[in-house]
Amino acid sequence: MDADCHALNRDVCEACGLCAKECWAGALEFVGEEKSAEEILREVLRDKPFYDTSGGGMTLSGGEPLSQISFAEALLIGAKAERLHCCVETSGYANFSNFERIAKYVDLFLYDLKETNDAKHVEFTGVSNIFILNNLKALHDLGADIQLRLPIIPGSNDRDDHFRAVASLVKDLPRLTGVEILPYHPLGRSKYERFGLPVCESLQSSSVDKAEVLRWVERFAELGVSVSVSRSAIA
Amino acid sequence: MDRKTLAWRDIAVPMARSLRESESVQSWQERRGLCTRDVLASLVLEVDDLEILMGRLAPRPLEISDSSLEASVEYLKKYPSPWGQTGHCELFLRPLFDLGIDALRESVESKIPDAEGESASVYRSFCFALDGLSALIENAATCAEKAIASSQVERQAALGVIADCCKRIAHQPPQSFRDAIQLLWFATFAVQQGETVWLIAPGHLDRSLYSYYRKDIDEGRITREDALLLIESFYILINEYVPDHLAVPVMVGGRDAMGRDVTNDLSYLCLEALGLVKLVYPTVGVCWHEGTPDELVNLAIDLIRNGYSNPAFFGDETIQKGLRDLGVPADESCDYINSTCVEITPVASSNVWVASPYFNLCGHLLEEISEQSLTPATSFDFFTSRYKERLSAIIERAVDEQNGCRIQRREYGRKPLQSLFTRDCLDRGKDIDDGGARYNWVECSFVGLANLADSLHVIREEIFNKRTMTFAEIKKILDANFENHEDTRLRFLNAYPKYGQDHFVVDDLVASMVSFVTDECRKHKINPDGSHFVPGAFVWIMHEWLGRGTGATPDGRKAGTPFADGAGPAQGRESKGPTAAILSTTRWDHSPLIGGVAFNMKFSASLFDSREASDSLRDLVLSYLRRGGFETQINVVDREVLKRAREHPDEYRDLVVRIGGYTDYFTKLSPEMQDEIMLRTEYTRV
Repeated sequence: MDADCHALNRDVCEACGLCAKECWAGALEFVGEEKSAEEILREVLRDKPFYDTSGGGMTLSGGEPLSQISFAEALLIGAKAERLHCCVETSGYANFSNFERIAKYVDLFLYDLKETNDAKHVEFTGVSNIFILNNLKALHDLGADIQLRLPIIPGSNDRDDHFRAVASLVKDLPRLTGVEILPYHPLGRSKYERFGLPVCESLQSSSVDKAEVLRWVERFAELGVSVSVSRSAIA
Repeated sequence: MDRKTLAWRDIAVPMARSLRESESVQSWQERRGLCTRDVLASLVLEVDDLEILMGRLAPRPLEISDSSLEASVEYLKKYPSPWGQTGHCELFLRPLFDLGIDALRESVESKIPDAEGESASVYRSFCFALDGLSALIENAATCAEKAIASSQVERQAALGVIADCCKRIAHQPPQSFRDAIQLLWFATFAVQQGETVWLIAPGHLDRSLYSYYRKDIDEGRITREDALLLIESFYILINEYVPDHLAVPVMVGGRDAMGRDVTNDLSYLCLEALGLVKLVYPTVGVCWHEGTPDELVNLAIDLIRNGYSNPAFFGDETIQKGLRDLGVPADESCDYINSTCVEITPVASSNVWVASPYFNLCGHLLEEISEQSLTPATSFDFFTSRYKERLSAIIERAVDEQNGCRIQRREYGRKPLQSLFTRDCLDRGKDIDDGGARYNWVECSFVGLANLADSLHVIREEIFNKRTMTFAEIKKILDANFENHEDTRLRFLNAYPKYGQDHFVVDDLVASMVSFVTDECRKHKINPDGSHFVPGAFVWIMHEWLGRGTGATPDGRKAGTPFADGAGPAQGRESKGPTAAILSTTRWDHSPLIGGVAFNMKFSASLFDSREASDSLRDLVLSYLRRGGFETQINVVDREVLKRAREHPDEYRDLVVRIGGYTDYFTKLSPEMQDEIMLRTEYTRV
């Protein structure tokens, strides 16, 4: 502490979490804890009375849940034993055997597709989209319920060739439960700041205009795809 | 002083006049009846060129000069003004509606010859009171008629209808929905204004008025829209009459004596009218049970969504159980009303006093801490025993005081009109202030339950388990209002689990304190019939009022700041979301607290932007009710409040908002995120 103000030196920080533990004012927060599947299920089941009324349940998200496949499987098995509805959000970037392992426990996959053009996918994410697209088809053919989710970022993937490729893809996946677009919003920026990371300059600082979102919806409709807009988008 | 309060104060003039004139009458009961008659007959009403129901008082009539008011107040000093509560009930109007004023008066009068003891005077007083009611309604008719001459042609027919209705119900039973709702207004208004009774609940309009509505609709005399307009007018009259900061309850839905759901068209109309009138009164409570139609619940949620009103939800199963445990027979336990806020009284038969008194749980805790700083207990259990003994003595004193008021009221009170409309006064020939009513409980309320439990846990940990300080030391810190001890305050506040975080360690403290006060209250008997002293846990404005006068408490609360606003967690301590708050709050049995349990939830308007989102909210409410929740009300927070939350985050720590697909606490967000949310809130309010 200097001059009555706490300063965090991230260069030497070992992330032991002790400073946050002692900070009763809540100004320092340690994000992330090690927990066993049992501990997590205990926490999830506390809200079971509410799921019983609402039909809600457990959603695994991430990061990529399938990157911790044994853990994901343990959670899903435990949740299913209590008859909870289970969703898994995935980027699709995983061994298909992992999908096969958990598919029987999952009521709904929320499957992200960022970019249909492989070169651009590598440019934006660092990896190819071949596995992602193959997994999507295979998972669909396996009989899993899938909601396709399309993050749309102006200036990046709001291109007509991407929309057309999605439309073509969707035609080959007749049993998708739905297609949802996720318009960009800037709420991630402050997360960078709180972690002491530099904010990427190209990250826009405002949400997408409602009118533009509607144009996207209309374009998809013209291409024969009825899309919903994620609730998080239009306020 | 505003027009509404003046009207209440000006009553002194006709009251004084009446009592002066009746000085030679022996019976106080009869004099009170004459007083009711004379006060009601003196009221001057008004109607403008839009109103469709009569019943609005003219602002200060010319006959009441300041000097006559002074003289009247002076004269009235001769008559002791007994303390204790009035009103807070829904009246028994069945005979009035079935017979009409004239026939009812005849039937009361016919009891006089065979009446024993004071009953003859009681029946006479009832007759005088009815004369007053009749005169009031005749006045209204005359007022409407007089207005015809000076009105536009289009308006004259409407005034004619109003005048006819009043002329009829001044003597005859109501023949239509309009007649019924107009008579309901006059009856409730007359008891309040004629006998200085604060307040009478309009109550279950969908039960008292339904047969008239149904008949008129079936016979094509009115449309649904006509009925809606009349209900709106009724609501407007309430707002014209009742001063600020009070509560006027309407309740819809619920079950009958056979357990069948009673929701009908009027239930929906009462809610719809709320959303159209957009004024502070009345509150409409939905009496919820498993058989309540989804549509009714959804309508209530939609109203909440629009932010114009906040219907409350009451757990019928929980409340009926509580009433039956108090001895209300199973075929009557379905007929109750939240008498103003959330306190429950049986309909049609209540001389139940509510919120009598409010207890300051933390104030007494601080007293005990003072005591302990001199002679500390050796264990936490001993400490809590000493606190409980202290509370027990205070409860006993309070009961004595209430019983004293009851005795005073028997001598110097008496309310003939209210008595006539309360079972079993007519059958017994006794006034409501003289034990005529079927139920004479007194209900109290314990303020600061969350703060108490939170404080006890801190004491248990700091003083007894970890021994970080003594009672003398904690007293010093509290007396200093945590000055120079902010780190200690934050530790008290954040290092220990709090009620509302779904943590059994502190939730159990709430449960055990509730159990204790319930047992204590059961030990006492209330005048005049040995009836119950019933606990509650709601606050009205007392969380601020009592909080203002109470020093800093071990839960980390600063001196002079409000306590928790009901039976739920204290402000800003629900750090694990509304589901945890609900789980904590429903960990203990609400049913014994017929004195009222309030649980408020606060959400930003942005949470209601879709049907899906509203459904989630509905599910939250239903989960709470299914777990035995007594009552809940949802506050929708708009952009203005969000702005205030940014400036005073400590007061808004429990405010939940919707972010991108998930929810979070508004005060935890970065300023940029808060901006975004505020922008969205404005967006959605279109």
